[in-house]
Amino acid sequence: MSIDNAAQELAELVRTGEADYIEAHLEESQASHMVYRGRELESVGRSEAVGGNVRAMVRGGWGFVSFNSLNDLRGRVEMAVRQAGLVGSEASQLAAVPPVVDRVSAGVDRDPVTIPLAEKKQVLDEYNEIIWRQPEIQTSNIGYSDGRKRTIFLSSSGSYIEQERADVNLRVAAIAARDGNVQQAGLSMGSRGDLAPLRQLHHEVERLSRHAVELLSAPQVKGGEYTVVLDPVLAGVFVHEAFGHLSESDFIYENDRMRELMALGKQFGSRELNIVDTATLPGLRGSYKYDDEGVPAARTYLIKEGKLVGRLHSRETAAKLKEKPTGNARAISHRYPPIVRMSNTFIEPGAVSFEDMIGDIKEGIYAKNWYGGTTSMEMFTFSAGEAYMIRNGKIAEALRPVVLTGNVFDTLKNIDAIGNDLDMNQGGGCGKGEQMPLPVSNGSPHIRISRCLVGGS
Amino acid sequence: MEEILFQAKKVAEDAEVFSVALEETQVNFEANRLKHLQTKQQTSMALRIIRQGRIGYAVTTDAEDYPRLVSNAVETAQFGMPAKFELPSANSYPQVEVFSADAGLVPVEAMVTLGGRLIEAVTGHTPGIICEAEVTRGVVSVQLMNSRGGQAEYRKSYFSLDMEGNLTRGTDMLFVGDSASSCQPMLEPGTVADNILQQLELARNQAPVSTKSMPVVFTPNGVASALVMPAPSSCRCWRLSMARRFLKGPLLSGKSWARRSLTANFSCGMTRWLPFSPAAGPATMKGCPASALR
Repeated sequence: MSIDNAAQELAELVRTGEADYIEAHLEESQASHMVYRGRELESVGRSEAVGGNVRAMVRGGWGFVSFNSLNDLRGRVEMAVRQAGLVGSEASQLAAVPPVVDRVSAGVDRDPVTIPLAEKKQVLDEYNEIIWRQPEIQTSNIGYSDGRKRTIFLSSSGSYIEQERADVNLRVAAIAARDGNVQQAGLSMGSRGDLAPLRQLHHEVERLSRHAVELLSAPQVKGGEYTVVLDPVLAGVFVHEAFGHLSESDFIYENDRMRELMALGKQFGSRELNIVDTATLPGLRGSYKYDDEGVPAARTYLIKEGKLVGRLHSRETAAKLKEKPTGNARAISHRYPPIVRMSNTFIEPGAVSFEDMIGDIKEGIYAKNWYGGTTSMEMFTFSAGEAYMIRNGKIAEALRPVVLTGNVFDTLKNIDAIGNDLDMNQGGGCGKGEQMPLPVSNGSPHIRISRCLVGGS
Repeated sequence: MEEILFQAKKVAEDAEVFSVALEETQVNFEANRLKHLQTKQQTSMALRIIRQGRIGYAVTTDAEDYPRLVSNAVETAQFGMPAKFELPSANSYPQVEVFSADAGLVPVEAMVTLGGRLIEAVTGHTPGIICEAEVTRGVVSVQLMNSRGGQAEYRKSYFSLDMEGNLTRGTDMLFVGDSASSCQPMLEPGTVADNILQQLELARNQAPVSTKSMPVVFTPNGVASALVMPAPSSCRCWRLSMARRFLKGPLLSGKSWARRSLTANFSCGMTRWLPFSPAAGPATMKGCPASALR
């Protein structure tokens, strides 16, 4: 059975099911991947999947059934309703949204999955060859993946939304070694299904390979507090990981203490600080027209002029917090229920040029790119992919990758300059619970943080 | 599976079909209260072929569309790794206990009770803490057959208990969490509750720490995630060959690499024979009998 036929059958079952609310998702997807370790293409594969789910709400409780056999759809709906009935004990609350009937195409000229593997491999081979041209390169890692999926969402409120999307992701790392000293440099890129930006990275790959070798001779920074300038990639990761996740309302809506901490109107930073999440920007990996609850995407200010003014919602969290739905309920596939997620999250640009930002720093650090890290509640630790000393207002010597750590609330207050050069980072993906990687993007202009703790020797 | 193997054998020297079917039920608690019941049904089929000496690989959830599965595997084989091995022929597999019918039969009500007791134990100890908990039971059926007569089939049950707690005071947020899993049902909060209560006790005293080198004591879970998990992956063959490039001086074997990397007091083993352990099983994903390694 095709997902279109299954959707026809489910539409009636969902409409007549005995629950406060029922929705169903159907999905067909194709994907391919290639992984290089060193000179060898270690893994290459293609995959295809079909499946769906039914989610029901009864007296405030949810039942969720996922499947990839499209038989017995009536049984799936009945099970979801039965499960929800076992859980529910209060009035169901979902923010009202008008039913939508729509079809949204992927918006790419050429589906990346249908491009022959040979064509993609040729580009990756060129990148690997560039990396290996540098002396002292000991190995390389290249991971490429692409995917395309078509989903159908339907609900007991009358929505029927068909959406297509495509996604491409690439990460490249060069690893150099000398006398037991191992250094790495990498890049991560993605797109909304368009392969073109990923075909033109020869210069960047050459630069990162050279940088990995240069790091072998670079000094390690002396640990301590510095004025730190973050590039758009690292600042974007900071705003997503350290702040954005705290703005997801499923973390807040049933937690009185967190609601106090994240109270709207609270001053979190300077008047120049504006943080936005929106899925409405065309061409970005976190963009979509409707979320996985059929809610239209919106532009949501999280921080405006330094004050907390908004947060990200599913229909349920919006209803319970008596706020407007923002269209941020997303699931990575039919196997999972939608949960509150970011889309494209960024710091809006200010007015300061990069030269002015570093111009009055006597001794500081310029941290670029993202290498790894973790957040634990309000605390974060990020490794920058590249780092340089700033001396007397100029970028000086390269450093081995530095580790930045701190408290997100203190750090937001310590942002004392916001650049005019917003750039969006399209690499990687977001993880939350079991659901990863979800296509998102994050970005920022250059930002300057005073008194940032940097780990070192 | 036989039909896929038959079709694949027409275009490849060797082929292997791998099927996984899963049925899972999960009870989720959010903000100290029961929130979701979830059921998952999932089947998938993977095909690995050796064609012109190279490995091709494709996966699908639609076993009926096997011509596409085969053609996808053929396309990937153009670029796949050279197959420097042979698929295993008919083997006898060790008897490893990984299935308990009881695990799949635990009533949902009992799972709800278990999650509720776990939350009560933690919130009773620390009022104000907000907990999320999951109780999961499931059964996985694995089947593998290849063109050299190799064939493996087993069922595995699993039961797991996960919990995370968040305690907020001002801008200070404490995260605690623990989990346990087995192929057998676990109907007592037991160690998960104890470990979380211990984390909460330890967190009562906060100490400032400055950036410097100092001795670090790892908890058993810390050792498992920071040291034990990376150790076996470091011992995989390709990583050993990489390690030879990175380390100075002659390296004759994996053992000598390990001697350089680890202290004399460190021993690490890996086995798939531990009865009812979630990672146990009679066969590897490639149809070879499971083994133990020190």
